[in-house]
Amino acid sequence: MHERIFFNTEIEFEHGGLLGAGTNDGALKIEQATLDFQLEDWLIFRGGAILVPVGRLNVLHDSDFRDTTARPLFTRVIVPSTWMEPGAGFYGTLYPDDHWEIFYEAYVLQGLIDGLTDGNGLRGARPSLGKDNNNGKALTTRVGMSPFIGLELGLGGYYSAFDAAGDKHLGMLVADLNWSHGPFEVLGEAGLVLHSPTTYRSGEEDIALDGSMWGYYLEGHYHFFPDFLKGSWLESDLSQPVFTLVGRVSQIDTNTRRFNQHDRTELVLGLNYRPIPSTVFKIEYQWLLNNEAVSRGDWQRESHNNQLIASVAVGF
Amino acid sequence: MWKKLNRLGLCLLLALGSGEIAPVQAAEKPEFYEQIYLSEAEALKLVMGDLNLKKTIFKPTAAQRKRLQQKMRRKLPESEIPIWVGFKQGKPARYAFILHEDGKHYPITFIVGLTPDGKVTQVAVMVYREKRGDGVKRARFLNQFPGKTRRDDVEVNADIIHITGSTISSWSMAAGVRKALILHEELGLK
Repeated sequence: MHERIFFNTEIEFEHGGLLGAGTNDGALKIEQATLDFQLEDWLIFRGGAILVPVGRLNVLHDSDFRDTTARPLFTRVIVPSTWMEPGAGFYGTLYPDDHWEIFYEAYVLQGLIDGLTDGNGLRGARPSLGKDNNNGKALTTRVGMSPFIGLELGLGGYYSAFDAAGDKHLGMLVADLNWSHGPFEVLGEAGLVLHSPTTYRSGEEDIALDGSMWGYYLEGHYHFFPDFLKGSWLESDLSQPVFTLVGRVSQIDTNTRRFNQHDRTELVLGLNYRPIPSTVFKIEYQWLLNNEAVSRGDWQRESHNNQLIASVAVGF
Repeated sequence: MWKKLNRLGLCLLLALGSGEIAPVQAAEKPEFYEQIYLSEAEALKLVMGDLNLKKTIFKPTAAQRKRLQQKMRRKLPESEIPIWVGFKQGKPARYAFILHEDGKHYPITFIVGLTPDGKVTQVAVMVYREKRGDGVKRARFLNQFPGKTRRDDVEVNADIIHITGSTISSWSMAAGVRKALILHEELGLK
């Protein structure tokens, strides 16, 4: 559009898209659509359907960026990625010297709806892009710094009234880390959610949700290319193909007042192959366990079926 | 009837008029927005300083191309590569390569300076054509390259750390610096 005006959009056709007047299980979704107007390098206005900047993964969630197919349990339940809301605000990056980078995002957003549950956390509380359920607005910000290339630290916050009357409130803090050194990489996020006591309907029953929520994930990557494959079809003409071994642990508790089956642990071990930076073939095994069982050393008790997941992803 | 025809004629005229203008506008509108950080003269001044410059064009033979591609582990698309030699007291004191590597959608143009014994002295981005991901122009990323030689990997995930949000550009820059080192070696520059 212009050197200082950008339009970004991400439109997803999920599970085959929307077919048969919406009778199939597919979806056509806008995951983000923003208009950016650059005033200075460090001051850029953004308006539209904005990715909520709590944690790093919700903002950088594209499949070709990630090294596993499934997002961490924490970023499906506590940070309900992909989490976007209509709103406006500013973001920017400052470079005080040749090493440091400081970045920020700050927006006024529409806010969550009354859909918190034990087990699914904030996932059912993501708002519609079409209408607001109350007169309150949400505030969110993420500030981060990178003192040198290879280390990035961020802290995101979010506040919203979530019921129709605007009497129930929710606040959230999420810290994130990304560290790279040679072939090693560590990334993680940890978050705490405090909210007004509420209830949700499950079948015929009203269930109280009166405790806070927390969760985290920690993921390690090791990038390599074995010598014995050099010169093979997995390498030739591809400049810098790479394999990545991935290990991840993630835990959540969506009501700290109750120790129940909704308190879960996820363990992931995966391997992927990137022939070029924007294309990746992934395979991973995911163990889904119950926190209470894990605390007793019972690694056999699954909270959901364990899964073998494979996918291909390409960025374009 | 006449009025109707007249209106139709006017509509046709407008349509034809816009048809004539549209291709001109399309031709004038750039395919991408070039962010020019350094002109060729500025880039050479930055890397070569006050050395006496001589430009040569390297046109790889079929055998050279094959060797270069084997070392690079990818295709060499260029048929001609300009090389600048900086002389001091009649002897080569520095070499500079201005190269182009594909970013996510468009090429990145940059300069690589090398000592006669094949050590990177400086890397600078001259033209960036993507709308996003220009973090690779920053010193915090480029400072990883000086001192690299053919003995180093010069690869992301090995000895180069990519910039978050500029992953593909980071890989491209690393591949381009590696290409300059391989060219220096292949040409036996001293």
